[in-house]
Amino acid sequence: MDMNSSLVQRSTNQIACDMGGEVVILDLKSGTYYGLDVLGARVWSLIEQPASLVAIRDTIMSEYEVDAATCERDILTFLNQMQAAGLIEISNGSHL
Amino acid sequence: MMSPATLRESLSAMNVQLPSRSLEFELMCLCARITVDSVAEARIRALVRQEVDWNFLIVTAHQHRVLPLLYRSLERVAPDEVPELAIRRLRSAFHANATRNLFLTGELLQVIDIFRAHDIPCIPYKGPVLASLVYGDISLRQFADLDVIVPVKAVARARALLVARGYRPEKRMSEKELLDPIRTEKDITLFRDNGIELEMHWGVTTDAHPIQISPQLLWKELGTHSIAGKSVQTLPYEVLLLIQCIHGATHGWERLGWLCDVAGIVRSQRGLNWDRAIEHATVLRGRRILFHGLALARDLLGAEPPANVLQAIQEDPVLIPLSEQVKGWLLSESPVPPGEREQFFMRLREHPADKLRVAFKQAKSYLALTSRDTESFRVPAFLTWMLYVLRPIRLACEYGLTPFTRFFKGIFQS
Repeated sequence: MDMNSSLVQRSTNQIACDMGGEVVILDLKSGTYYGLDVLGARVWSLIEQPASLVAIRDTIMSEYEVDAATCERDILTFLNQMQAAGLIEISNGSHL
Repeated sequence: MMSPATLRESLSAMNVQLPSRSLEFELMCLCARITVDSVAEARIRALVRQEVDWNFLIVTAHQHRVLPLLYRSLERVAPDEVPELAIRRLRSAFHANATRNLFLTGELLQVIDIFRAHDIPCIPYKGPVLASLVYGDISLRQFADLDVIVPVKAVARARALLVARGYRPEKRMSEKELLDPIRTEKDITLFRDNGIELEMHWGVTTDAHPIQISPQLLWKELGTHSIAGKSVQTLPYEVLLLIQCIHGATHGWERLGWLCDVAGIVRSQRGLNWDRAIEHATVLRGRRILFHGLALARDLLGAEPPANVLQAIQEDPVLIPLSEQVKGWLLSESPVPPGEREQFFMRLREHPADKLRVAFKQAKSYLALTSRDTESFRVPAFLTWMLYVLRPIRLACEYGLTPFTRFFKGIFQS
């Protein structure tokens, strides 16, 4: 996953709602519910429209006290899990 | 008309005896606004510092189907002022409702996909669509079932598709037997074992309703709305507004949640053509019903219609006492006295012929014999006709003459 060119967007097979800071997502294909904590919910809100990984990282870094390497690593781990669950799509910017 | 913030003061000024629960009612109305402005926020903060009966408030908000809005507003405006136990109960109920709404929304989208794959047009209505369209968030509306409208000619096919998905019709009927309810009813109900109840409509009113919306009107000028990236057809705001006002009025506005729907539609003014809404209401002779719903949504939930509509509301002198009557019912913990709702509805109708129609239906229901009549008066078969004479006497003994007086007054009052 390339930080500079990859774009992240929500999958169309899910529906989510805000639970006062946290987010619950229902995967429409599997019927599985996923819960996101406040930080996950923040990332989720950032990808309401397709967003680059760099933009997500920079926004989180501006809001939380975290160094760039840790932030990048945590975001990538989180997004990989979301992608594996089919809740988001990550693609090269030119494809979106 | 008055603002919710001054509801209690206004009732006091009118020498209306203040029910003991007016504090909780005012707080509920303020929190039930989809958008809470700074004035309402300040009032909420002032009210939560008083002796709120939190248990009563939570139970009542649930009955009025505004519990998610209550939680959302309190949690945003005064999280530290609400007792921990109350906010925990509200949060838990909010999460349960939101999770269920997600589940129902997912099911609705799958049903729409099935209908689409079989070329059956459908309009999802109320439930998730209203929540998403008007509240902007499916977690903020309380709904228990799903509603879809399909064309009359597609009812049997759509029912078969739902049965194939695992739905069980409330009443087992062959395709031929289904023709009867299609002619006289407006919907059928189907259930799934996972607890989903789905109402499949081909209309929204029947001849038994005091006012009718033709099924043809439902399929005109449809809008579209996106839920979870899927585009669904929606009723135009003007028709939606009218339907919600008719529905609320038919039930004497016993749930604040229905008024929240109206208030939400009013706030979506960018998508609402007011002239068209009034035109539809005028054709149905239901202007007063529309204006009454709007007046209540303004008084109780601060939803401001445009100036010309407000002026039309203020020009009808009947609307003020009717609104006060509904507020009295909402504030009261006692059931509505017999005959009062019927009188209310007759006064809501504008045309004498419509008043008579309501009166006729009411008279018919008063005269229709029930098992209590046959059990109370044992008469030989050849004297059965006497039961029709005895029934009004029994009702008068049981409820007094007031419901009858209200009934006749309702006919003649404008």
